Amino acid sequence: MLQLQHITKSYPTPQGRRYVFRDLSFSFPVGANIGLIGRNGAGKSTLLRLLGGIDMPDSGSVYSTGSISWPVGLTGGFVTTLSARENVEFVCRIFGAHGRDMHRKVGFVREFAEIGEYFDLPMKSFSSGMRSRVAFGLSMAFDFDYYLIDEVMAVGDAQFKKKSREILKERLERASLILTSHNMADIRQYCNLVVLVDRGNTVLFDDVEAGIRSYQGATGNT
Amino acid sequence: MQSPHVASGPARNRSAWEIQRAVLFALVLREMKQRVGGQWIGAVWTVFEPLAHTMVMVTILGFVRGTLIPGIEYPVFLVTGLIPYFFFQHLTMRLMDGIEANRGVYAYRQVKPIDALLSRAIVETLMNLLVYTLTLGILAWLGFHVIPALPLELIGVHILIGLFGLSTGLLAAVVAHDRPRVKSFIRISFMPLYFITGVIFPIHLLPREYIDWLLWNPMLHLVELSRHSFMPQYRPLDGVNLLYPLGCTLLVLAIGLAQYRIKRLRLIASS
Repeated sequence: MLQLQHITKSYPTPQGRRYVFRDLSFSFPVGANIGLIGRNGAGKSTLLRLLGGIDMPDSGSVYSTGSISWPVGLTGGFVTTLSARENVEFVCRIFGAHGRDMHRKVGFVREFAEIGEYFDLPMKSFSSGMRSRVAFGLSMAFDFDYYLIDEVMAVGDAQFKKKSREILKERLERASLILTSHNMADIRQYCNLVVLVDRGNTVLFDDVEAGIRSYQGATGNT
Repeated sequence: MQSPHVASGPARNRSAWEIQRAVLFALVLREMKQRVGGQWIGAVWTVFEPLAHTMVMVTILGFVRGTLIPGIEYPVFLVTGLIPYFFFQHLTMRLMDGIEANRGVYAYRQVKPIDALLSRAIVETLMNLLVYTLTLGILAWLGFHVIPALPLELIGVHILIGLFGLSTGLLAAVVAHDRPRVKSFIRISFMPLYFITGVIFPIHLLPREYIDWLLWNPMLHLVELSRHSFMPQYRPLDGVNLLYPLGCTLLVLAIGLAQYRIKRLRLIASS
């Protein structure tokens, strides 16, 4: 179960406080993969950050009985002077994976990323595609009840995209997805519900197509 | 590739203390790897800076002045002031950049800016401990008397120096987050601080009316006390005590923590 309870979130700006959400309450349906859609600046990413515990609401709370991932495919947390292995081990330590567990996860990421001996070289020598491979593999090495994905879906070449999609589908048999995207193809492919975020309000659509129509009607794009 | 089911997830419920420990341990390890691996020059410099400093000063001042204070070996006088001072300075400087330098990590919900600062402080303390031992070892090897006469007092004084550095570092980090220029100001102010702390020459030599002003500097108290615990025959300045720097530390720590508490959301958010 994942609930927003009376969430208010604002950011101070030089022109005063800007409220992203005011007293927003919302229950995410159990077991559904949810697409968050809305215009730029509507608050999709803020919502995702609140769910991910990266940002805190001014008041109210996020209530969850399951575990929630960090934004899938996040590369910002890597130290580029360290190797991919060291970075993966770091995240394992934070999440309490020790010994054999850590060993298995590192092995998994190494195999999934398919970057060969680069895995043990400093990440500053990586291309952005290689970093994304490691980052995506790292997210998939952990079992969460909810996976958060912010915009970036499949990265890299065709073969890696295919592989990413397959493993994500596999994880989603046991877990749920919360995805923000402007790419309606992604939404259609992964989600069975959409939530339209607009001016601090959320509207739930059981029918994905209806949600997309409503969104496109609001913005006038296709 | 058929993915074997490796993910066992963060499923097991960990206590807050377990998570805190895991996060600090992970960050400390990462910080150390960065210091030693990525910028090994930096690690080498941390170790040899006080050493080189001492050697240069001893060479210049040792010859020019002879003995400054009767009964006190100048190199020991210098080292017992220099290293505590550098400990404080390094802590403040490293912590000041600590929140920014670990920016990306706050996306993992367990990690907060204060964890980054604490882990940096731990690493910095370990590094300085190493420097201390190494420098004193070399002095001992050269035939100076370097065994502290009052070891418990010495440890106490250094714990206080560590706390003071941690507090100023925390405050500097939080303040500099909104006003980055504060950083250059702090970096520059370490230059005069170095002189008014009496690291390279004894403050005793100054006229009394100046000393009264200089006693406002908490680091002067701490450095004097550090020297006294090494060499009991070294008489600290009149007016030097432990309470004043302790009070300063608590004050700065309280302001730093309060500022952190107020700004904690913004410290994470601006990524």
